[in-house]
Amino acid sequence: MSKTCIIIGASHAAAQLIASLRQEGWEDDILTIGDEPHLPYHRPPLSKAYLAGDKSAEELAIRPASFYEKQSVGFYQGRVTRINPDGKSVSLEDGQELAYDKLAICTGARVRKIQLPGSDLSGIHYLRDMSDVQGIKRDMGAGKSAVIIGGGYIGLETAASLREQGMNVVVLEMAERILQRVTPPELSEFYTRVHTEHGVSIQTSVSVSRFKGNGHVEKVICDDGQTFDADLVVVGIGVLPNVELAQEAGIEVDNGIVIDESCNTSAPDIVAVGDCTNHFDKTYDCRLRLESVPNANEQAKVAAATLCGKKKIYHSLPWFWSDQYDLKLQIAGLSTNFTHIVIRGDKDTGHSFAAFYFKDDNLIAADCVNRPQEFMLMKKILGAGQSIKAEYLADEGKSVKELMQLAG
Amino acid sequence: MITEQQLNKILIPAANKTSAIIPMHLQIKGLHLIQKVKRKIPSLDTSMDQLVEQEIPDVDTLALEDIDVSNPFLWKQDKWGSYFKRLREEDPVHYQANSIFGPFWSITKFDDIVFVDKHHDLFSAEPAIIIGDLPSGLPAEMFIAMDPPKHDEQRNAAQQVVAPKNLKEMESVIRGHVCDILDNLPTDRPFDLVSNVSKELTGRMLATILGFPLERRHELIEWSDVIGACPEATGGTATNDDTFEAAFEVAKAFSGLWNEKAARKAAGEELGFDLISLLLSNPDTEDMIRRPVEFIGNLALLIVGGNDTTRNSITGGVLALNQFPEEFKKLKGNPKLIPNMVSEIIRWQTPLAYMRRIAKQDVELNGKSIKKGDKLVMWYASGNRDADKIENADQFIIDRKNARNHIAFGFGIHRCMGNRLAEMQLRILWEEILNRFDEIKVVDGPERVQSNFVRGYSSMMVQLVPKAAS
Repeated sequence: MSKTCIIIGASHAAAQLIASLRQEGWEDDILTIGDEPHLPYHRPPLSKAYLAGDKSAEELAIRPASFYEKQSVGFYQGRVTRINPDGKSVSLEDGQELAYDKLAICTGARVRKIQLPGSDLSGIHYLRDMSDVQGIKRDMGAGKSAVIIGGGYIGLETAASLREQGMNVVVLEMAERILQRVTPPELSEFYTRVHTEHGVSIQTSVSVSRFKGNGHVEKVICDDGQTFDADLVVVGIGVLPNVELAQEAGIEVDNGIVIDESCNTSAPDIVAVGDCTNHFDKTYDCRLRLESVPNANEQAKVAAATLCGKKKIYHSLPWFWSDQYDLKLQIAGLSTNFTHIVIRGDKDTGHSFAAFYFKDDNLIAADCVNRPQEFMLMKKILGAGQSIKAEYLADEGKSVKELMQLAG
Repeated sequence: MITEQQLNKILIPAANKTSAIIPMHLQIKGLHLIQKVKRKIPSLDTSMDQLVEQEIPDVDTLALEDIDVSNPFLWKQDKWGSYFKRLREEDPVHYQANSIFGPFWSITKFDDIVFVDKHHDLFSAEPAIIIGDLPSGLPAEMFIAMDPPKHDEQRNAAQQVVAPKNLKEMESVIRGHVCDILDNLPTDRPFDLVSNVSKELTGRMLATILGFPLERRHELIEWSDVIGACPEATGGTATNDDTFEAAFEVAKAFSGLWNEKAARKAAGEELGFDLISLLLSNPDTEDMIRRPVEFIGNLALLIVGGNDTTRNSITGGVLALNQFPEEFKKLKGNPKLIPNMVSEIIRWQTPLAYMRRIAKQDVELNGKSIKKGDKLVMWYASGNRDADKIENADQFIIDRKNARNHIAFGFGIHRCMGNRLAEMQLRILWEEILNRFDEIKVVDGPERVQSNFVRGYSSMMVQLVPKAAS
């Protein structure tokens, strides 16, 4: 009888895993179980091109239907409620029990929800799924007011998109600056300036206490008494990894499903991939849970090999991106625990610069705004475990090509 | 009319489009894989292992309660006649408690069948009209197995395909196909009537009414054979894998066809009178593609309904005229009898043996107490041989009076939608046969199929004798 690999979650990770499984020689059945009615789709454009209407739902699909047909993959819209590693089966919400030979957990993350008086009013949205954005699109409109709760990347990207739709936009951030969790003050200042230039009001050190409205949200009221008009609220206050299935199955979980360098979980024949996982990163010498598409894709390639009985090691430089207005921010590496920062270009007036992060004498990360060449250079240098002197990076007189020669 | 270039602009992206919604055939693939992995869990294995052919005993050796007319070999071994005769005479509303398809009542008399069929308020056609279950894990909804009002909406939309205006246009198309098929038959050696005529003609007609490419008609026939032969539904010989593969192909082919026609419609082009076009033109059904369970169900209904029935009536007619050679002489002497003979063929063959119902409340029927929730099977094949209603019912009599008063098409709101089309196909076929041949001799067979539902033939060898030059 043919073997079956069941993939839980029709995600970025799943789309890559399917392709890689076939490349690695998995000839048997592949069944993908997801709770959305869609083929795996690109999530990053949701807050941008899809929200703006520049891309249709169809254009978001990661791979066309014909790909899955050719790879002979089945999709089932449903929810897995239990993994039984001893009996090698999963249970579905509707009571069906399905046997697997190999299992891949690609359950991703879900939005952190806000629990405040009035938070169940209509017009209050999150942004993770296609259906979330369809809801936002119903409530948005030029001249109307939008309040964004949370000044992280999702919140700021959404603010930019809604502003470009002609909405009056306010961003409310609890911390004293936006992007506090992920960037140094220099970047926060830069993004505050750009958003302000575009007419978005950035409010920091402010906590929402409740929402007012009659069925539909009308006002957002803060602890300090400030009140903001709102026809639409988008909440972007972070995500939580979907680890419960694994946890209840007795699989090791610690801020994500714990995986080894080959994406094995603590249970036999079960791998985990993507936003729901926690892996050890050699470069930064710590455990990481990353919310990023490249991480999901790279892990999927490794997991596919593992499922086929081969051995690949996951070791990739983390990288991310964020598009707001005409700004393309590309991030290479992790800047956590940096000791000093070097800026290349003019971050105070222009729209193009790069920030390089050092820990002692070692380059550890870079944020590149509209600097694709610098970003590519950083991916190369950091990926190879190399460094480069801070003074060279600061010198705009040295071309990126020259910098490449100076790395070592 | 839009130009081909304009159309390509719409169709090519539509065809290559990476649709965000999981396409139907990939969902069916998913359901199939689910069935496969469920079968690996031993306690959940639902395959019909009990279906092993054994010689059907003489009905008189059995106690009444042991008579099980759901046995799919009853028809295959051509023993059904004596079984139903005994039930009609001794226990016309008969309860079988232990069939492999579960307990059910058999309704065997003409009048009782009409009563049940007429009272859709008392007897529900949901969720299925076959004795057993739908193929494991493959949900399908079809209007034949729906009660009003949903039934009425969907049937009305589909019914247009066999509206009188459409039938009139189809007559010349049918005659063209019939002549083409008959003119290419060998006259110097025996051949299989089933594959060369019965399947070929119904396959071509089905492709026409569904708007399916004619050159791919053999696929339709294969799907029909597989879907109709599901063991847990009718005791047939298809495997669960076969059924899913057929459903996958049906979904893929017809959702492609649907999208193509939807694009034509969106471009303002006038649609045709095939089924897909008609469904797209009706507000009740224009979004059926979004409801895969109904989409597949209704296609399966029309594919099987338009295929197995007429096909087996074609073969059955030739067989009847061989078993009753005097009638063939009568026919040659008076070709005007053809329309009446067509009704008689349909009665004599009754290509679908039954429809099933579920009692919606407790009902007394012919002295038996049927409880709410009980399963009833209306055996049309038996009712059509009921001597209390039809004189010399086992005889095939082409000039029988009131030949149209048979129940092979059912009765009431679910009465066969395609009856006129079926009659027309048979009439034209026999008109053209008489124009060409003096005799169709059955020289071997027929082989009957394994099913309690479809009274079909898998092969029947015949030899033609061309008409003597006059």
